[in-house]
Amino acid sequence: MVFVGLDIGSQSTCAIIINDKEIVAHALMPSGVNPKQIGKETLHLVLEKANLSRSDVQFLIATGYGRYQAEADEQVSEITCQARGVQELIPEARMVLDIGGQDSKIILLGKNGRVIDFMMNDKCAAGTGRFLELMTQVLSIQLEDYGPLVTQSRELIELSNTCAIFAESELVSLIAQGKKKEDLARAVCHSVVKRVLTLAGKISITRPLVFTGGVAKNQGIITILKRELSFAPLVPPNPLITAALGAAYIAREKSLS
Amino acid sequence: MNLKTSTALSLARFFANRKSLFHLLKFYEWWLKRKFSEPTLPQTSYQLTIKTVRELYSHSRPVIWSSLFFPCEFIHAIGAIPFYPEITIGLVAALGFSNIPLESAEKNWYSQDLCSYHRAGVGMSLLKLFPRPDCLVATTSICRGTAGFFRSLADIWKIPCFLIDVPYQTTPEANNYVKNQLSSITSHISSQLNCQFRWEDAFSLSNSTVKTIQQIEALRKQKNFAIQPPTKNLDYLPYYFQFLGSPVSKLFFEKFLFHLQKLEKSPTKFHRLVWLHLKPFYPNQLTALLNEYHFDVVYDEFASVFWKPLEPEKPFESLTNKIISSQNLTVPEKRIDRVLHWCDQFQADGVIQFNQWGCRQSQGMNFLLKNTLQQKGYPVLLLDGDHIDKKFYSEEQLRTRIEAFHEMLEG
Repeated sequence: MVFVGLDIGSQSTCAIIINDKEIVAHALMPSGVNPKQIGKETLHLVLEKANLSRSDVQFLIATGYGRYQAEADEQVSEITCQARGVQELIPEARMVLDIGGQDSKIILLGKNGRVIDFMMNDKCAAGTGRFLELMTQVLSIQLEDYGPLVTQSRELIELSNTCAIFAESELVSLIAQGKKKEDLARAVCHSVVKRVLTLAGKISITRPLVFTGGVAKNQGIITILKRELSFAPLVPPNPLITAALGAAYIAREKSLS
Repeated sequence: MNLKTSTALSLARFFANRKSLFHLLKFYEWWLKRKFSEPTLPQTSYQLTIKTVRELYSHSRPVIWSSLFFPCEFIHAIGAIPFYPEITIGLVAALGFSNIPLESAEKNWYSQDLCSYHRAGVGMSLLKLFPRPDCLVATTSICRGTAGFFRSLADIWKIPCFLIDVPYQTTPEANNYVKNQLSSITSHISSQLNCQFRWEDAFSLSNSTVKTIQQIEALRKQKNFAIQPPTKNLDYLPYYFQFLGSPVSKLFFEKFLFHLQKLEKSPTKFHRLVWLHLKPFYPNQLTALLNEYHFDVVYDEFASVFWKPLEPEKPFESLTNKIISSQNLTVPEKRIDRVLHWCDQFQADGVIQFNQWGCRQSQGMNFLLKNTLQQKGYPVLLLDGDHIDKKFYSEEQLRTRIEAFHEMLEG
């Protein structure tokens, strides 16, 4: 018997199968516009990878913004799932900084991955993966270009606007002023980091801090985060799958209890 | 504004200014009484609302507009009809059209950063949809923005506004300062409306209603039952503020007590919550989510009795005490002490505050509030949004926060 965690996020959907010892398989797909369908497809894919069928799944927990669209045994919020997933990978973690496609979260952890407190961003896209993605269009770069560009930057430019749309206009003005692409890429990453660290400051930044979510793959953000925190956040090998992993472990616990 | 909305507004304004038409509501009230000989609590509340609408718009007595923390016993004592724009704007939002007055205010240079209670109140006045006031009375407690709000209203309606400046301190000098202002506006209003203040009845009704409220509080300490069904501000707010000191409030709370006494203790395990500030009035999923995740609001901050019994022989001293003690909601150490006291008394499992966009009074102390409560072992959830302006509402974000808070309490 196996247990499945399914995380339907705004940008990507992840399914993980675990048994009573280890991870059996995982699958990751872009979310698209139909969370119900993508949930089904990702589940199908992961079962196929593990050479299993739906009837082999003893318990399935869905999480992420599309969790109520999935055919799951139960739904659990992404906050609890992130906490549980991180605790499984990095047991000493005390804080999780998760920047996803549509929101950012700060989770303060107690013993055994218990959530003590959490904060989430407001409705604006600033401080999320979506913001970074939007700005790539303005800067005519790819997401993976942020890392090298940030390291080349020599001038610190601060984007004064906290709103994603106004920040875009500001960026356009800065381009017109002839500012260098690398400095603008750094300004974008800096604004995201500033925004999430303000959120984290509401709880107070606690070490060891684990960085998860799609944005944790962005080297530009990691570089600036290190500078601003004065220490390196811990990044799991695959920061995109932690919520689904947590969901799978919760599924196993629920099934056995 | 499209043609349909514009026509509806013109019609609404036409009817709102036809006093005689509202007398016809008497027939509807009579029919309701006949149909519901033993009305439920919501039905009682509905009938009282219809009666109030008739009285306000038919202008059967002078209408005095007041800010939320101006004691309504003052208005009942002169026999006028109290009207609280900050409460009524909640009704406008509940009916789903607060966007119209909000837009009207914004078009007239009232910034989106202003509190939406005030913005929408100004908008309803600019549109002349609220009942015309004879005069305005307000205090700067608990919100300093009220002063500007009421000055704007006075300018729109071209009527006098009597504003009581309330100091933060509770010194004898502060008491005298407020008492002198109250005494002065009493004589002004008395001569302006040509009415006499009769404190005895209003104070006695208020005191006896407070005793009923205290009985309700005692029951809420034991039972899993919030001021609901459902948990809506409008189900209790007018009776704590607008009608206290009148038979309306007394009738409502007696019915509520009776209703509560009959309730059986629920077998379901609920998470007992103290609720700070108000909740969104516009149609939203908050109540449904609280129910879904087995949260029970056992105490509401705005339903607290914070004043001493009123003494008719010392009217100004009594009302001064009520006004000044309301400032405790804005002084961090006093407010936090009170919240801790409620948490203890009502055996709360956690605290939720629904932050109102632009509200400095409640949000200014969020850090202190959250830290202190957490140190004492009470988890706190701060929800950001707006009670009146639906632009700031996101159901999915609300669900995730409520759900995660529930999971946090479950451990």
